Amino acid sequence: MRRFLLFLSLIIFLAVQVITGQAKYTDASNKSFNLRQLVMLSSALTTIEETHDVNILYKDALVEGKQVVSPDVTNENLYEVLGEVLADTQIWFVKTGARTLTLRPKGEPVAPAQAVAGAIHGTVSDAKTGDKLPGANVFIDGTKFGASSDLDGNFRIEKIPPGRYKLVCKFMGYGDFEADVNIRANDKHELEILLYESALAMDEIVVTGTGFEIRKEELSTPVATISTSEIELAPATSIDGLIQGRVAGARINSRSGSPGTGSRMMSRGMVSTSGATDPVIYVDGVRVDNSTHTDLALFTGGDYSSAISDILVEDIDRVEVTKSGAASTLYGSEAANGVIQIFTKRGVAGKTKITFRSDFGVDVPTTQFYKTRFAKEEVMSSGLAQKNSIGIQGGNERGTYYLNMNVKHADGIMYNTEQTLYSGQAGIRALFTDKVTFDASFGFVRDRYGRAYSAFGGDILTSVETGWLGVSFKDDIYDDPTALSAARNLYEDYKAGENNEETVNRTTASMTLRYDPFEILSNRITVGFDNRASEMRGFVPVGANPLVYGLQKSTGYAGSANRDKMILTLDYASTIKWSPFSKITSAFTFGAQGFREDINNSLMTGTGFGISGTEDIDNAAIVTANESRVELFNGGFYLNEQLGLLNKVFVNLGVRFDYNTAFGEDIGVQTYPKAGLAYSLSNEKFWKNSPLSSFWNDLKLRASWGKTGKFPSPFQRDKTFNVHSFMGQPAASFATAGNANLGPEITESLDFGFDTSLLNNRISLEFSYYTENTTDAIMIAPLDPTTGYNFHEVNLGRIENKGIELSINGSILRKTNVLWDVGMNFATLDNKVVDTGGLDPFSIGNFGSSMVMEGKPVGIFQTNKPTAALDGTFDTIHERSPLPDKYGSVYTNLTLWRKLTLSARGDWQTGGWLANTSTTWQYFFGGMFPDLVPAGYSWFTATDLFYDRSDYFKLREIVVRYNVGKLKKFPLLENIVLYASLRNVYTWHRVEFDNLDPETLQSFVDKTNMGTGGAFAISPPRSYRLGFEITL
Amino acid sequence: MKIYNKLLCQRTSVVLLIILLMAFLACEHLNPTKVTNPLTTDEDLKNNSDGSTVVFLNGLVEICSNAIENCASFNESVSDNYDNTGGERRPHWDSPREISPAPNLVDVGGYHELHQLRSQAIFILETVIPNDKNATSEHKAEALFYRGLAGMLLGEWYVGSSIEENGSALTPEELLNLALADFDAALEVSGQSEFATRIYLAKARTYRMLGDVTNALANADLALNAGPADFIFTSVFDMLNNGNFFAYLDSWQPNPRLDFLDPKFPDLNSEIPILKMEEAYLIKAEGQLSNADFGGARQTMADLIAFVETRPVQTFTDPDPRPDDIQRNFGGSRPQIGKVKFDADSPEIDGLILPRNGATVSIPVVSGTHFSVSDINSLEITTQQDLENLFYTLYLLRQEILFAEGRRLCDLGIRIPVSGRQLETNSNLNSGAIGTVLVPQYIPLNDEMDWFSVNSADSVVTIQWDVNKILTENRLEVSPFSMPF
Repeated sequence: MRRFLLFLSLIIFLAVQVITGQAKYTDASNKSFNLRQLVMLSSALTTIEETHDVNILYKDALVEGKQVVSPDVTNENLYEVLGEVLADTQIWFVKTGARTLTLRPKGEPVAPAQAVAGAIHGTVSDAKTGDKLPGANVFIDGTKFGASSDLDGNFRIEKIPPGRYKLVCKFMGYGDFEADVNIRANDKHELEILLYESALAMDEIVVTGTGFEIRKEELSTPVATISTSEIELAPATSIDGLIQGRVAGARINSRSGSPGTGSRMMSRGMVSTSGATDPVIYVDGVRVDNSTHTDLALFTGGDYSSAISDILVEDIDRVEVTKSGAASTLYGSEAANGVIQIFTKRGVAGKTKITFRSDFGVDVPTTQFYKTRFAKEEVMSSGLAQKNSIGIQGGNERGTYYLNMNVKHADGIMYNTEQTLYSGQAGIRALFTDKVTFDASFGFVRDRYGRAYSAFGGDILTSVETGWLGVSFKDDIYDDPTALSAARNLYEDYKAGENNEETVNRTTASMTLRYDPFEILSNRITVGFDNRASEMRGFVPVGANPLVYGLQKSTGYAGSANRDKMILTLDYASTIKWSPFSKITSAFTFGAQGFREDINNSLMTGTGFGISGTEDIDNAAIVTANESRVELFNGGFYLNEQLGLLNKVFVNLGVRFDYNTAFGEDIGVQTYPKAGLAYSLSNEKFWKNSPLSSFWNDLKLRASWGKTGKFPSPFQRDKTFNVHSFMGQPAASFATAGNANLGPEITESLDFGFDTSLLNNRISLEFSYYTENTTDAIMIAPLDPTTGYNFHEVNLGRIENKGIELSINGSILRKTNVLWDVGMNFATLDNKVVDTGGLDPFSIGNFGSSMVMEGKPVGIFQTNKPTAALDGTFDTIHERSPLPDKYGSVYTNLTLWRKLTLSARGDWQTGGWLANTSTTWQYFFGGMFPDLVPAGYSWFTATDLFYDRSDYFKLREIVVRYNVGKLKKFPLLENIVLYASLRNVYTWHRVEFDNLDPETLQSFVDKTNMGTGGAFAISPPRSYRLGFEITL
Repeated sequence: MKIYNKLLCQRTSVVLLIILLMAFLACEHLNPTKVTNPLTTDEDLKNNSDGSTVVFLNGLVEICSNAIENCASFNESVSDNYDNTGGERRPHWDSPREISPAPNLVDVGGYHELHQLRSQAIFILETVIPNDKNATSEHKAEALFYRGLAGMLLGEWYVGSSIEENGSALTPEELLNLALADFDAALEVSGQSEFATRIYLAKARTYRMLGDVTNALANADLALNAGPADFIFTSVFDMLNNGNFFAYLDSWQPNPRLDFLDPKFPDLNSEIPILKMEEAYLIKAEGQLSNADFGGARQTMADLIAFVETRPVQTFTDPDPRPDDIQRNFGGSRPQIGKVKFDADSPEIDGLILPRNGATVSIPVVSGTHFSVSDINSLEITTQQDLENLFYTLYLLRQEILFAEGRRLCDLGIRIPVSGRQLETNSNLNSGAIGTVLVPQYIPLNDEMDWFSVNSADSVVTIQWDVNKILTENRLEVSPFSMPF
């Protein structure tokens, strides 16, 4: 490995040398060598403008297609440099201002200076929100007259020769603005430009997938983005909730209504039978903990916090999402589930702004899935929630800053579900020089959750809904004081015994230094870390009801499960952008990226306190300790070439070489190639000149192919032995069987599609057909019991995923005071295990019936279905897939008077099945559904009857936001925003007995579980919020 | 001049970069690729195995305990000893004919643990001991014994088993013969007398299952003569690290006629007997029956009871609420007190059901029986009915004395299939005979072996089937020995 690092360093070093050497050579050259390259005249003029601080005006037609010798930037004499560049052209220049030159064809008379006298002044604003837009590019088409809007959205274009012009305004993420203007001498033209957000945003800059900034139009792979304005409107508080319903093809299921438990995330299907489906997450270029399966559910039945739920939305500026495939290739052996890149806020240059935000509201439990009045009224109850934050941001053209602090508390919807959160986020961007930029961000989160024992069976909700401990909770107890008292006593016993809480402390830091020594070369280095330490603590006091807690706990029990995960990231990238030939652009990126993970898990327990009041574990009669540690390094080197031809055809080629310490010793460096092609048909002249272009704005065809990987579990490659205490002595036994050939799962993706926009960018349509084929899929393959081992990880299988993704967004109304947008995402998934490498069908997950078998979707349920004759015989069938085959989302957004926004969003899924453990418990212990199992059958011979369709439509959120703006009476107040939101509004579903939210999962089961519903799991509550935001 | 300065500056920067890079590479602490597996790897063992034999043997003891606990609890649930009234550990297996090797199911009984036991014993013999200069012949004898024990239990409980990766199925007889070879080899290298008694008992049990009366009797006598008289070899448990969770299976309720023997394992540290001297008496008596030495058999049974009475009894408060069978509700509520009729035609017997739910109880924790020496001595041995009654008494004694130790299925003639995972992972095994539970036709249907009814008027519990009567009727199939009556 050390050799590999040295090799890597050497490559980087040589590459830097080659580039700096080449640049040096260019610098050092002089006329006598005359070895300077030929470049496009327009490019040469731009260089001269920058190196000599001068504005050169000309008509495009004058310079188009002309090649000249590259300018001698070391020569400080402007006229010598320009003269040399223009020597072989029929062009000359005249001085038309203090720092302004105008190019003319040789022989054309110079117009009198006094004729250049017109001007355009104006502002650029967002048509929807009325927000002023700084940095918009306003120019007169076909000339060099132009300006950028300032921090207040204002722009001025001066000294325009009189005449009729077409004024154009372009701004990233918005549709172009065009207007005819008539400039008269000495006249000042006033203009208010309203820009509408572009449905397609072809010119939006993204960085995920190619290693450098690139316009979306040039991408051959789909990269979804969530913009600042979308984030502002989202009532979700964590990243999973933000992505839910906003990214085509991404399926996000809330696991539980318990706070902080996060969601199961999946895009483009299951590429593995062994690992989680969560995408990797980068925050400001630093890999962060994305675990939704933290193995800490020791005292709660199943609930534990997810690492993605403490990535807070409030501090996010924008998000980029790739769904595996070629877009993720450069992330190597970790990106088969896709990549989420999060960019936190850095502040906006301008006056210092202080913003207070406060919202409060109530979480109302979703009780539709419970049968008993006791559960609905006594176990579940509405809880108050409040969140306050204060932020400050500002800066100037040399740097910006952002600081935000946040405190939140929610009472929860049943006992032990409260949450208290403190967080802080800081971000700065500093321009040390014109060539050196420094970015840094730092965030911390402290979260404390109560944790109720739930979603497991055997918990309070199971007892209430089934009476499984022999105490009835049926509604008739309200007519029988003795029965009601018994029920309440048992409930109190549960509450008294459950004292579980989870604490999360998380710190994330990122620093990025960017150095652009030359126009063609930029270097970026990012270092950072993410440290997430969590503790799950449980305490059962002396005297707790042994019926509930078992004999061993009635004398007092305490446990502390700790997890500490540290990820260090180092990322270097260098990009050379140049134009080797006329009309051809090239961006070559090379980089190295590595991360290291250290995970320490420990568990301490104490049993038998003897006297009440004692909670420290070491005060117990019996104290135990367990520990497990994992270390992992993943490093890679990548090359990426992005070629542009005539600004129409874009070719992307790349490769990543990857090494991971989880690979077996016989597995070397892995190679992940990719290739892509994008063709912007609408940039063709024939398109622009055809009547089509008047209503069909953009059409881009794209195709990409690429490979990504997914590394195996650390240390599974090793043959190991467990040693632990038994009878006071060390005792050794087999642990892992080891596999020297253990390598990554390789997912090969093919993606075809198109992006198009119509009707002045009012309607956009993005379509993709994809295939994701995983070879060398890691199977947690059972070993022959005669070996003495249970399972080992082995690269055996082949899994196929294919489907389509469609995203349609449109503006139905675009009036000055009424804007109405609607949109939808739709995706299909056809998942199949093609080959298990000769393994017989085997189960995954703890429920036992979720199988891996050839020709069936990953996790297909094995069920016993009574035969039609109902004679006691049954067929063992494999027809219930836990994976929905269609899913999507819809939204609508209405903006009135550029101030009032109403939006609603919902998501749905269909085609999947759910193992309904609520029905099972109610059947066995509640005496319910007595006719469900036909006579002559048992639960075992009729398990098929305990499965439900997991179809649902959830109206996920409704938001009203009113931008009051500035109040004249209170000049100190810069802006006021009022908002109200409702999340998890309602669920439509097809669960037969209406006893389980089909979205929730039995959270304790294996991370591959996609369809086992937790018995009586807590459905996400309906959250009402009212809030305001005041900016000073 | 400016160009020169710029170049100089760049050159200096490059040199500084190289120096910096070298400095970083020279620092071992900055190497992010170094990972250390915190567990012992086979590389670690290759480098240093000294002293590890003892540690691996301790592991063997623990695996053996897991296997016995798992096998015992499974056996008891399936048989007429216990009724699984709740949801713990696959309640439908109360019906022996429903036992099937479900896909990926590791343990039908303790199949996986028995193979863990066997494979780790082989690993110790072949890899650890040869590399450990501290290893002794006693260590080797222990490893050989455990390998033999695994073979013996596989041969006793299963329809057959393979013993190597992708191997073909061996019959119970082949497995038992392999076990005998291991026991003999262990005896050969061990010099300890008590170890010899353990081997004699294991061999007597193995020969009995092979139907070899002569060798079974010979080894039973060797054990009885070698002593110690109260010899017992148990699986041990450590409540801190690996307890006997049989003790916690509250929803497992004993057959009312065996209620006085439950719970045999009152706490997590309770040991489960594997080989105990009582079995030498039981084998001897059965051998004597086979040899038509009916008087001798009766005497051996009387001696056995006299010996059993010397075994310890534990007195404690039992919180067991005696829950009703909420799955099937086959009869009345679970009795807390009352007389028992072994079947509808049997007399009422008092004192077999002990009051629970917080009452103080005294339970034999090694061996117990409701028979007294005089009960045995009063048995006649003249008529055919007398002899059948003698056989009935012997098998009832076996049931009571070996209660909760995982022995009943074998006596019932039931053999369980290999695990589902075994079938999945071995292409040489198909799910035919090796994957099918073997239940003799005389075993009552469904879970009827557990059925009973309670007459609340006179608190008399009537068991549906006296299974020992059924065994007696089918004694020629039931006993491995020939029965000349």
